[in-house]
Amino acid sequence: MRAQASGISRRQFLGTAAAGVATATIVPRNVLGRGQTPPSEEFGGALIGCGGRGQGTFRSMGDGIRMLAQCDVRFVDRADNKTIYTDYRRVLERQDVDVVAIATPPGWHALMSVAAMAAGKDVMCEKPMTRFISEGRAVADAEKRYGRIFQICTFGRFGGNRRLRKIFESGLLDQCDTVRILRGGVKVKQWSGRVVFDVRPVPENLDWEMYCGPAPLRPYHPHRFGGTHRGYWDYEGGGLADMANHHLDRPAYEYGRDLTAPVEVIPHAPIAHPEACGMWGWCEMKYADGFTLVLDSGEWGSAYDRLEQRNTSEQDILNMLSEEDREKLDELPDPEPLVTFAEAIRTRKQAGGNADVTQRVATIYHLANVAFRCNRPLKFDPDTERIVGDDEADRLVNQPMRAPWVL
Amino acid sequence: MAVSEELQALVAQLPDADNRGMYTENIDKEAIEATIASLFQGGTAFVRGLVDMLDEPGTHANLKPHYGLHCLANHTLVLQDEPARAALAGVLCEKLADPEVPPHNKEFLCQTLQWVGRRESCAALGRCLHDEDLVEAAAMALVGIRQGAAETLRAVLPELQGKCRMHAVYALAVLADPQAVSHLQDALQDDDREVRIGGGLGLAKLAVPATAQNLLAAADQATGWERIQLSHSCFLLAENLVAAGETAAAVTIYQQIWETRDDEPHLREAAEKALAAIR
Repeated sequence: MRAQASGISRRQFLGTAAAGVATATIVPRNVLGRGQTPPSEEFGGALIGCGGRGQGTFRSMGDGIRMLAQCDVRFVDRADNKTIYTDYRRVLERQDVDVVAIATPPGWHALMSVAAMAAGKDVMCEKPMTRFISEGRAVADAEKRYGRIFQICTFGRFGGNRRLRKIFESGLLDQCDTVRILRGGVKVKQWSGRVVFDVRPVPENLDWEMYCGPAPLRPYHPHRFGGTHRGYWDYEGGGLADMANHHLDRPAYEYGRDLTAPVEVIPHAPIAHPEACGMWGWCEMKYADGFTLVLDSGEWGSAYDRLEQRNTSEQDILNMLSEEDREKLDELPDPEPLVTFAEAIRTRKQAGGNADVTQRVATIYHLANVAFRCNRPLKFDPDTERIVGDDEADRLVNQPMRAPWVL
Repeated sequence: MAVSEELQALVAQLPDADNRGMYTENIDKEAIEATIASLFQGGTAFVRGLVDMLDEPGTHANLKPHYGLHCLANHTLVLQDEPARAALAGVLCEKLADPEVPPHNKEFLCQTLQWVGRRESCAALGRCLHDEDLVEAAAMALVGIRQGAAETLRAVLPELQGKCRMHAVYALAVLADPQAVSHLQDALQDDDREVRIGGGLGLAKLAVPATAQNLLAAADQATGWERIQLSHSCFLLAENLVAAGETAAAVTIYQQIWETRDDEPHLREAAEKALAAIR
């Protein structure tokens, strides 16, 4: 982050500038742009990344969105640049596209999200929101800067316990000895990459250069493409990055772990292959307030046994407050119900799974993955969002992109 | 070059791929780490040997030396052994100049240097910027290393053309090197759209007030994707100017966007909000 000569960082400035949007409930027509679409009317939509979850991602934006464009790197043999595209940049140039669903491999998510919002579009993005930690801040900044709606395509937090959330959001609890352990469900073996493979010719209908995008241009083999891409560090962080947003979205909301980030990470994993996401056992993550979160894959090595889960219920957490603070909590308003994407694009209220909170959720599993790859404990600064005292591990927080892709 | 039997025996101890061609079965952390510790004892001779053992990507013959070299590089970082790390990086740089090492393996060496390289690695990587097969990996490695990278890029940039120039401009842009202002201003006027976009982003990161009018003019003249990107850079520049205390220059940018972007209401709105926040 730059020196703060004016005493206000870029992040603080964007927060100030965005405040007006967060409180607005009625939308002037011209906010939406592109012909001043009234909130009650149909929106023009586009889908980028049409395989796998793509159509479902588009549908998750809700009713009243007409599909105007579909874009996929597999469409080389059928692209007409009217309704079918291979190059998302041409989709974002369209003035009649109001909302974009992004369901490409995650290496593209941040680049496409930021560009879409810079072009005035609202975004529904498949999980994970990003490939690397620093990308998430760029997405959150773009959301604030351009007053756009961003929603991650997992919705666990919408069923979250708002009373529990209120305790952590209130700031009344500055020390907490909760240990929350999440076990299994992370598809470590399923989404591992091949370390031995046959290089094949690129299929004629596939724009492989565009597929690789910001990642190194690797020799083509089919396992790098079409869902199994998840096992390759270039595009995604294995089963952990694929699944963790599902498992973490709700507890991160309830326990306020989307308001900050871990400060210490202790991994247990064998050394990974440089390109293929591999096996890992568990990761213990400590927060500045004493909260401990443990991810235990259950797929490699012995089960996690360093700590027992403890003090996770609403009553447990309430008991950590003094009587005086409990009274103060009662006087505070409950958190507002979270706003869905469908409502957000019509009211311009911030969506419940916005980029700011999702960046914090994504940081949990990206940080675990960095620690697995580095094979050593790490310290993290939640304010700067950088690894402290380990420059080489920090290089995996803000990994370089292959030009001309850049944030 | 002949690889010693001792090294070959150690490399053979590293895991084989399982029946899916993956590292998901029989992965023994302690055994791997013991092998890597033994490889470490072999010093630079073993590093050279591992590079010599690299083969075609994806082959069984490539797997173990490829994995072993990666693990060995990380091992120096885990130990925080700077002399060993410097020696390892030095061998990788030496091998970048070896005509016997094929380009796909040199790319892997660049990829390893991106992670483990140091200031001293920049010169060797800079020489790779002339090579269309290596420029992408070398530019990414320089961005990863950061220290010493910008001066290398600035020195080489005037000699580069086409794809090589584009990658160098983007690396320079990301590094936000204060001495690169003129290079990035030149890039903003380039014939290549991608180079112009990269130049604009670099100027935005540098936050030099005197570049604001050039960037605004470039954004204003651009169409389509380039207009989206250069307008985005105008906003980044304004935010960085605010952070640097150059508020008047930031106001000029926001004001001009607000006055001229009638057909891009989201940009007018964003400029209006930013102006309100400044005032």
